[in-house]
Amino acid sequence: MLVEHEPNGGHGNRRIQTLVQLCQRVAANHIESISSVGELSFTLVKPVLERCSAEQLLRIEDASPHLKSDSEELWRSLCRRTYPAMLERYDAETHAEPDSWRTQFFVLREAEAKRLEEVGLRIRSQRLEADERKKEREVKFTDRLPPPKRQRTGWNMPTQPKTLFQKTRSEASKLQKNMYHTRMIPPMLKGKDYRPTGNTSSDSLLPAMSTYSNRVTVKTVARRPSAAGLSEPSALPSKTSNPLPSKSTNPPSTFTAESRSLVSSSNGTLSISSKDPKNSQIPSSEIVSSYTKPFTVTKKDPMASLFVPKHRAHSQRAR
Amino acid sequence: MNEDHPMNDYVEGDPEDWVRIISVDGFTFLCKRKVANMSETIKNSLDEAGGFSEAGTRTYKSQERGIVVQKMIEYMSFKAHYSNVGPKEEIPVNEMMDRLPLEILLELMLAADYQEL
Repeated sequence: MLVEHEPNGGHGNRRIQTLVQLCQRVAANHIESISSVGELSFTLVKPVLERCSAEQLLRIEDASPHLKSDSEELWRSLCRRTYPAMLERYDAETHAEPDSWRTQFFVLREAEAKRLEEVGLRIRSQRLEADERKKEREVKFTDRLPPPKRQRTGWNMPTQPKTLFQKTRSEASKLQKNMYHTRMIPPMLKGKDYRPTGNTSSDSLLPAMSTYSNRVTVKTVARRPSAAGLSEPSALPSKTSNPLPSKSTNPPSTFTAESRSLVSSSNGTLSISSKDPKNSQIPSSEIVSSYTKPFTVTKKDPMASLFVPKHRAHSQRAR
Repeated sequence: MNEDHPMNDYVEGDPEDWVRIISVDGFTFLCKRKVANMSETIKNSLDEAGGFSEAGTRTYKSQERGIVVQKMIEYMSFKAHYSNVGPKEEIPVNEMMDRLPLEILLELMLAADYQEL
């Protein structure tokens, strides 16, 4: 009896996958459609389960509990796949295997979610900070006027009456500008809190003006010497304050009269310095310097330098 | 062993013979023996040297449903055909996979495992 050739064909069999394998492949491609593997043995469905996500694996396990006993290694590889970094950290700390890789997986997942949240929070706050910083630097629209470089008096607003002392002080500081660079002069007297609001145009200007309240700002201004010489009143050397409230209602006429009289007699009789008032620059500096006290530097408003005209006509000087 | 049987010269039977496969829900499928032999279990069962009673009748009674048996025979034909092609030819496995409906997939897998297919 001759044995026929193998009816299974030659070696072509080797190349063809079995029906089992084909089924496994198709199933793996459609895991979502699988709600249960029923009674199928673990070995049969293992290639399919290896490709599941955690949720899918959980669902299938719930439907076919007999799989649970064999699924430990599946969960282990899931852990390793999804959270490789966490697992390394875990191994470094404790060298024991967790009892259940399944629960381990969810522990890792929660830890990961928390970590992500923290990182996200940090990034968000960093971004907000960066945005804020950027906003500060950008050009803004505003209704407010920038503060004048010098204190404006009487251009638009009625001035408050100035004491003679105040006037002298402001004059001196103006002259000072021609001599030195811009610098700050400390407040002269501490007795009364002078608010030279007579020197400022209004309170509605930037509140930064309040920083000027006690100080005389000496700013350089190009002035004709003659004008300065004429205008320099004698300054009272008294170091005591004139007891004037800031919003005094003393009639201005008194002061002007006084100052004029003083000016007229100023030629040789400046009570302050021995220098001739014609050398206006120098005595003014001395005048100022006699009032100098140790001072502190205040912060300048950066907008202050923006809108100041260089020259003011002499006739427009406030009186 | 079966010398008195006029049709069988070979122990294993003529591959070109037709054999019958019957499903559990009463469907009958006829296919060539060489196709049926793709399944080891069927082959053994139809193997006259094995002494199974089915060998004489050349009928195999499957425990599967008709649909499943049909798909299995389809696969067996596929396999039988492409077993003999040359090494350079590409085997359209994906086509075969496309022909496996999801609805019977798991059942088919179980049957294929049993049939050593």
